[in-house]
Amino acid sequence: MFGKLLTKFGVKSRKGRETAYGYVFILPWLIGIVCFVLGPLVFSFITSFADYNMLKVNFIGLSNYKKMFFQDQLFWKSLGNTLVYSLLNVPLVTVGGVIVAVILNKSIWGLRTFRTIYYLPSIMVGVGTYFLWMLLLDPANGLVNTLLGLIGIKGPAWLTDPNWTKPAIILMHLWGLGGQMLLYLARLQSIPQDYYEAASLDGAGMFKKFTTITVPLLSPIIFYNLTIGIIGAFQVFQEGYIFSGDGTGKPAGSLLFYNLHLWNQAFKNFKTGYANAMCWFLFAIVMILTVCNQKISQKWVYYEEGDNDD
Amino acid sequence: MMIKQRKNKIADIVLFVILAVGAVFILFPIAWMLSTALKSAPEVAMYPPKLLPEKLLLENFAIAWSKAPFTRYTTNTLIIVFFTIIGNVFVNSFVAYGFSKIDFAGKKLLFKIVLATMMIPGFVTLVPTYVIFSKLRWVNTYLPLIVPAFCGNAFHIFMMRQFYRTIPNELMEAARVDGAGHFYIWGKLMMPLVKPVMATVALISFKGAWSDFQGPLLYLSDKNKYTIQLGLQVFKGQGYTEWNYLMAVSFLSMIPILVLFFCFQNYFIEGMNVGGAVK
Amino acid sequence: MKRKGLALLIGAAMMAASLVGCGGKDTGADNSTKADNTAKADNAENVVQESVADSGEVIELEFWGWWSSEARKPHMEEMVKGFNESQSKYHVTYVDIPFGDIFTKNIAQIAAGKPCDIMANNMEEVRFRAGQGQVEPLDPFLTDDVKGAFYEQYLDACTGEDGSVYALPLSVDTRAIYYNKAHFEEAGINPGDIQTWTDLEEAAIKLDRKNGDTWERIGFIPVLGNGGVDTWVINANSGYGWFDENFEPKVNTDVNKEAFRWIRAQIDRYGQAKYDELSAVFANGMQDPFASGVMSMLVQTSAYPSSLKQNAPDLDYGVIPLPEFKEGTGHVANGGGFVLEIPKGAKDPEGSYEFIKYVTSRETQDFLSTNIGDFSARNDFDDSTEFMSNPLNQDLSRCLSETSTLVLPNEVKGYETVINPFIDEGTLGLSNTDDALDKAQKALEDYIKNNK
Repeated sequence: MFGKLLTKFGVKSRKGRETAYGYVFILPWLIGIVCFVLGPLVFSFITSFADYNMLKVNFIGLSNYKKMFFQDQLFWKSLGNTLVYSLLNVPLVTVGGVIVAVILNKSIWGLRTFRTIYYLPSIMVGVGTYFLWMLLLDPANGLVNTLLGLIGIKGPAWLTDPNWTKPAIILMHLWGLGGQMLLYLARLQSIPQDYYEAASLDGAGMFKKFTTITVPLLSPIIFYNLTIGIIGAFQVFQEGYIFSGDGTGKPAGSLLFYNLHLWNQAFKNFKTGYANAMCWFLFAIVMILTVCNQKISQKWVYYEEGDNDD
Repeated sequence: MMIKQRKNKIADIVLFVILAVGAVFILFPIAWMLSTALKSAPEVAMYPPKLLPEKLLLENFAIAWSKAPFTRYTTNTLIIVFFTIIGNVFVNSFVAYGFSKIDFAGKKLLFKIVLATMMIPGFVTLVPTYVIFSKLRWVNTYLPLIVPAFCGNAFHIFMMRQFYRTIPNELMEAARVDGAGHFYIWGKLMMPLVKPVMATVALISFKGAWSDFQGPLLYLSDKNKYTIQLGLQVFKGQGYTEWNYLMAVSFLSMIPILVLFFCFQNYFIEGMNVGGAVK
Repeated sequence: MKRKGLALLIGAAMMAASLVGCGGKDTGADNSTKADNTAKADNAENVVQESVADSGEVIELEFWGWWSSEARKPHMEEMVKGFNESQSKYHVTYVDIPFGDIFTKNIAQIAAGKPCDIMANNMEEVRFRAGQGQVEPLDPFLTDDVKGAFYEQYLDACTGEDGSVYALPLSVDTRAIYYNKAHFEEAGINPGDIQTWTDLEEAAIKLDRKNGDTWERIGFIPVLGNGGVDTWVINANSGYGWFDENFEPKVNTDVNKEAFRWIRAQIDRYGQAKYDELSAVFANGMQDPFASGVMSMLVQTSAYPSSLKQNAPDLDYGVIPLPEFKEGTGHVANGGGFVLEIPKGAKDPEGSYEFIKYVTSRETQDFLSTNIGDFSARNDFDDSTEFMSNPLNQDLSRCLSETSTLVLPNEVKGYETVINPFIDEGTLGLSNTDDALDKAQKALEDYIKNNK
């Protein structure tokens, strides 16, 4: 039917027809990108120059940006919290994931069961997990401090001590590192065994094999996960919203992450214009990270399948 | 040779012990969740904590479930999940076909945009999108949670395109010679072949929509429309939390995904592989 | 034919999505309509009754509040039922939404152009919301007899900068110290003797019980429960808290510094770890240490008895006003209040007002206070009410008379988020309390400067 329509409109060349078909197929995505990405971006860009509360607009030039960079202490606090968190969390979870994956790539008794167990937390998703960790991290009768007490350590007041709130979140994320572990595992399993055998013949030990074969071959995906992880850290919201109890990012603002601050500005104080300026700053950070990622990965990381051309 | 084997054996045992200890650490919190769910209120607050309750209060699950209209919340969540899956599975496989099997002007550039948008965190567009939905008067309906699923998702499109690319073009060319159009090829030839990746997308969508907290938090205000994730908050009262009930319903809320995982483990893992391999 | 079918399928899916979208304006998706209907079915009884009474169209109104617990919600619903039966023109439905979300959702609904009809909201920010254009003025309906029934300070809080009244007070509260009578008797303390902060500290030390390294009983920690640093600062400086009477920031005054040092000293007596543990217990809502007898005294609001009734029905307790900082500075407590207002764009403001008038009437206020525990802002709420026949409420009422309800000007709105991190640092022992206040002062000055 669509073919007949094209004929009627005089699109006869094969190339022209293919193009028409192509656009029909990607149409839903085109609509989506216009309505849910580009449109919102343009809209938020415009209103980021306004005092806007969803009811009335009043353009105020660069004031929102000025306020963001020079006046809003909480902006910097939230940005700092997010960076500190991501710089701690991303490497730890990555290293943890690689180590577990390497171990689980050996032939060990009960392997399948172990893989399932390690993966289990990453499918225990939802708010319930956050509440569970609030319970586990209770300073007096939570499981974590009880276990620490057994080995003679007096555990901290995880979620009420501002110095320990971020480690608390990281602990929770380490528990759920199975998702990343699986990625590395899949990659490891695609490494031909003869690489290792050849290395063994050369007298390489386990550690040498790990550093000369495993790590280089895992490098693309590790690198990818690092950047994705840092960008992902700018997605952190529930941790702050739920763990601080009232969504203010307490104690001492230590759980006020970028997104929580943005959320509070947008949906609590209804400073929509200001929140949109924050959206754009976030967008800029992500774009810079993405470009850096591509530039560095071109130099640094070897992709087996040349995938970006088509 | 002998020494080496023995050494390997010792190494294996050491690794096994490490793994076992790690596994205990992973399973302990889950066990804690269950044991809390079965405790009485005084036992929850007891210091030092008890590993197991005196009496296993299985009825806690029933009591907790009736503390709020959780059956309704579950139904609401399933409605959102259902439409999200339909949208994601069909629309993305449709779009991905376009990107992998049709040659058209501008494809290269547009696909770069797909890749670029994979990186954009949702919060970048959260506020403006919210304004748009509220002006459309879609706030307090499920539409803001469902409609975007019908407009393509960069990650899923990418994943499906990778899969389409493993299907040889000869198959398609043969059909084209027979006079088949792209719609036919997509619907009749490709669909059966890309079933595995569709299943993966469906599972990922299920997991995402089922556990979504921030979307419903923002868009749903009528309590009758709440999803199960929002519903869990009823146990967090002013100054007093019914932890045993909260854990009971939290656990119940995780069962669907756990069941799906154990039934379709391979699809889950495959999804991770396809997603991870190319990156 | 087949490919046509498939194309149609996709097309239909897209169409369906967009159609549902258009229909969604009023009813939302199918399912939500269903949910609405079920909700309405619960109240069908009342609707039927009324339509019999009056052949005219009954106007449906929605009332939003956050009272969701077993202890409170039934009373709210009974009150609403009372209104529905008192007249035949309107039918109100009570919708409870969690406290953490309700204000956000309210504004969202206003922005979307379909707000609820009557909204419970906080009293401190009525003026702010009025300035933002979020509420309808009540002036067209308001009569002098209604206006004159409230204490002036509360009605003032409900008045916008343009002089119009935008809300009526629903309830007001105060803070007081609740004490465990058995502990007091055992330690030989007469509650009436606690007049100053020094008295309070001495009593707390008498009440403390320590066995080796473990605390068995905690006499008093000022910043747990509903007590914050601001509670004590307001008490010390007679009502202005972090400001002076012209709302200039005065965070790091000598009085405030002394007060904060005192708070810190109380915490230090028990050690940071004990305080962290107890504040986590309150944050996690694990178990109320006052209800379980671990703490002998606790700062709480006037609504606390209703939760004690649930959690510790056998507990024998009393209440004393916050003591004076120094003799003669006054037993000042910080309090707040809640109001009823009509969100901007509500469909029938007159009907909404009728409901508000009903709820704030003396009779309904007595019913709500007696059952829910909050105080009324009405000036005719005297000893002849059922509520005041309870001696505990009389004690609390004395605290209420020395309560400061701060209504801050718009430009300082949201200031807590700026200074609280610094105050927290002082409370948690991460920085010296004097330094914490100095930093907070600087932050507050900057904040106000930038907001002007």
